[in-house]
Amino acid sequence: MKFNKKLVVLAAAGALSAATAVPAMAFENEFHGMYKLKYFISNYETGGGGPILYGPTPGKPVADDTTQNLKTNNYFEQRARLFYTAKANDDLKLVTGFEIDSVWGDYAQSGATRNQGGALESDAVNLETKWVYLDFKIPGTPTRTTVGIQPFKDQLKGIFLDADVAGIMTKTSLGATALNVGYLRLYDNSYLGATGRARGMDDLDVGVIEAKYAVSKDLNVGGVYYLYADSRRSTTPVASAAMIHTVGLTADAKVGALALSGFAAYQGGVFKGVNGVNDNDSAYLNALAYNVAAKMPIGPGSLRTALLFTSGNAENTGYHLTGWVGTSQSKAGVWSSTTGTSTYNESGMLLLNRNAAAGAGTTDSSIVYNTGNGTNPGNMQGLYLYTLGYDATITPKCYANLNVGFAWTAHNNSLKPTDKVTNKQNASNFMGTEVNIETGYKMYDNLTAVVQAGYVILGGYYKNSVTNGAGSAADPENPYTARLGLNYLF
Amino acid sequence: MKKLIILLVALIIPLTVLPSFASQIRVFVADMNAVGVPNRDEMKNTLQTLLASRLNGERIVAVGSAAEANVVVTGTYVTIGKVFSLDALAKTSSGKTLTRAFVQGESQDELIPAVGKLADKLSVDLTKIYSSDQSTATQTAPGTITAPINSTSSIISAKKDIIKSEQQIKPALTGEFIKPQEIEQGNTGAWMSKRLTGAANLMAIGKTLPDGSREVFLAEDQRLSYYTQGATMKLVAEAEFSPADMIVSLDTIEAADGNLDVYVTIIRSDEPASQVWQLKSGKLVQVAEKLPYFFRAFSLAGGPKTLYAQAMGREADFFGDVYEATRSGNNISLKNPIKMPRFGDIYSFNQFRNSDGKLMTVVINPDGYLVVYDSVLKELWRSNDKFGGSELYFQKEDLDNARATGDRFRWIFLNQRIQVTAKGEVLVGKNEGFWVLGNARRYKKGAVYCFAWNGSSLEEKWRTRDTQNYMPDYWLDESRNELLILQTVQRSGIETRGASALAIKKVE
Repeated sequence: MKFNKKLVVLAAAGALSAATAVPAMAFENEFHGMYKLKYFISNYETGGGGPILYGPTPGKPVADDTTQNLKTNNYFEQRARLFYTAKANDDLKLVTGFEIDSVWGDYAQSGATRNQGGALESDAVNLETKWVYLDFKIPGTPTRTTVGIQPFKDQLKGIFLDADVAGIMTKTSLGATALNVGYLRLYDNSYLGATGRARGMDDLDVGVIEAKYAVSKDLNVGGVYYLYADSRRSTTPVASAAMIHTVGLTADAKVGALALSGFAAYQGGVFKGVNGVNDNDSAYLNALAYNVAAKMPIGPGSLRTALLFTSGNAENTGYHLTGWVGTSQSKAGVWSSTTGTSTYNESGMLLLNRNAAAGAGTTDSSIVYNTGNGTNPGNMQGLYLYTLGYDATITPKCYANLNVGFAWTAHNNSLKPTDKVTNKQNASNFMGTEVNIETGYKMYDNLTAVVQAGYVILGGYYKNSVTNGAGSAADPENPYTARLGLNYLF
Repeated sequence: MKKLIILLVALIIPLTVLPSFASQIRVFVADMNAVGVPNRDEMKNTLQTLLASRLNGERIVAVGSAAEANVVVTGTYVTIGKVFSLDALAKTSSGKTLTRAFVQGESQDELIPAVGKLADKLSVDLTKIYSSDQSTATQTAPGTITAPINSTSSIISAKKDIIKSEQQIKPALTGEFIKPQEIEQGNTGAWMSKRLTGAANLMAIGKTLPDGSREVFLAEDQRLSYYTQGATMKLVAEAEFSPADMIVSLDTIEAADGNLDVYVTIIRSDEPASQVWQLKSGKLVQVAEKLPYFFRAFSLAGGPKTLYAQAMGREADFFGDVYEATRSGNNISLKNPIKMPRFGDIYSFNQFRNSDGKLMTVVINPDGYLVVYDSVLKELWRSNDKFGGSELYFQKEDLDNARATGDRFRWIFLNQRIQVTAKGEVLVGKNEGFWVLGNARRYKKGAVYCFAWNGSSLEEKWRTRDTQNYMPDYWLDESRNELLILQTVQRSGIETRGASALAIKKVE
């Protein structure tokens, strides 16, 4: 019996060794990640995220801001992301991504949830899962498939959908042609218990077809089609279903040293049962967006300029909507002003629009938070955003980026601020001018100390739209932000 | 009692003397220079072997490396007309001169006897010195010679620098322990430069100058340095680039006009904006700029050194085929496209021929495995071990992924070169390190491996001993059978350019 026990132990040890040895030989473990710490000084940013300065009477950032001047918020935000990929071989891998983020001093221990845990004694359950997906090549085909919760960004520079989302994407390379086809399930409202219907009947789905052709090393052209199919009985506008087709053409070219890129896109669709009466009571959508951007090396850096246009709705749209619609949806089927599922990173802005490349993530605050520049399909104001910037490499370790941007609404509607003196909406569509600078110093290849500072001079769009501390009509205070940060990226 | 004491004294005295008689002088014949003779390299090796074997005797043992030796002998063989002279210099391992000797002869027929005579003279002198205990150096542990000798190709032997793979381990005659056994690659070894200012990422070799020295070009992130490598590395000229430039490749090739073109592949504002430099009156002069290609000059399948180019695409970091390139002023002409296999790009591939003469392609894939493809680019084999590994990268703005990754840039790492010799051997560098995590890479040691295709897989023929530092680049100078290994002895930082060193090992 003693002998048998030893034998069992040996056999178990052997089996364990073999089991642990095999994955080590077969798998490649790949790690990437980042840690960003930012200290904010700002009059509008509070660490909450979402749009600022919107609506007929733009709100103040914090409740006790009753003085003439807004109080200055200062807070620290930290965000860590860890990406682990278990690679079985070149054609099969499991990709995972996790995030731990918090604002210093917010909540801790059992009182804390996601995006929190920075208070005394920490110990919060705040590990977020961003990605879990399988990435594999279908044997014998040129098609790669990603299945699971994964990052997705449209080829319209993110103005429709740029988010982590569950779905199936296929990527097929045929010579110079790349074809992406996919299905994404953004929400299934049967999980909310409100509908009581079978799984999969009350969904918000997105279908994807993207084609890109490399004509030469200096020219790519492409076409995209995105289907937005919402059968969740959205509440704003009240509709039993919505189906939006987005089609677009894209191009990316280099002419000499000048790099040009852009797109033109059209959205057409229907919101059924907008008055909740019956499905035939429908509103129709016809919206446009276009972009053109240029970049050229000049001196010790690059000069960049870009224009983004999205169409907007007029005041009383009736059954004819013309505002660009993104995917800013909440799980309750409500168009949400705080859902950050579209981006436009080319701008280089800090406050004027949501630029995920310069921002912090879910706590980003901006004047134009979603690219339709509204809070629901009925009040999308649209946008003209012109930006100009210069990215300079001062020394191999030090850089400075200077940006200026101008934003206008494309159309007037109920969201436009009201002049508190005349009690009428302001005539001007000019939302404001942002000037910002970012400088960074590379302490190591992977660690950069960053300083960002931005100031927005609000335009006539906001004239006399708030009541100041003395009780009289006034312009809202110009937003500013100053951020000191450390970025560790690997 | 007296007798007993005398007997004991008589016994003890010889015992105390014995060690000095018994200890042999360990002599290493480091290098024999040959001047004015044909087949110079061959002659040097021959003389080295002849002198070592003739020194070997009862009192002197010829050892295989400077590290093992008490005495290091160097020499020169000079012929003027028919007359020749063999001169030798013996030093301690710490560099102190012990003795000199020479023998002259009237014709080549007397050469071998002359080596014997020279060995005799040295033996007598060294025996005298060590018997009379004039040298304190003999009591010290043998040191390592690092100082270069007096000629460009004077590579001090350190036989253990090259290790043959097939006999790396040999079971001990008895017991369960396995002892490593190193097999020396010829009677040659390593030379190490002094510390060179600047942590160079790249190295390219130019021409051999009339005095036998060699042109060496080194590139840091934003600096090109021109050295001549003779007995020492001499910095001749430098050129500094804009902070916005990132040098990602450095290559040399003889231009149509006979000058040496130095191709500096540069990434500027996310795009290749390469430059060509030439040496004019000992200065580096730019002769072309803003070339929108990645360049690499190498011997494809061990053939003649040729310049190749590959473009960057709007999305693809390396776009399409690799082409043979020729330059005329600022214009680059492309011809003879080479299809890239999966993972292949201009910096990660080479070709070799199998025994049937069929062209095979070898690449280092992003995970570091060597992958061999057949003539139709179908994968045939991949290594189990990892190779390559480089800290050199460039960045491209990647706003499409900025939200997901948190990084505004994509990092594109350039891998180690794959060199294929005229004999079809495949050389590849390998760096290893503790901290290699995603885009954070800090390698700490490197080696060069030599493989040969055996019909089914790449079989290791030899490898170099690991360097003590990260090895950013290497190059086998086939004309001299010398392996040049660039090492980063100090990384660049906020206040320092860092430092490099160049090691040269003889490969036979």
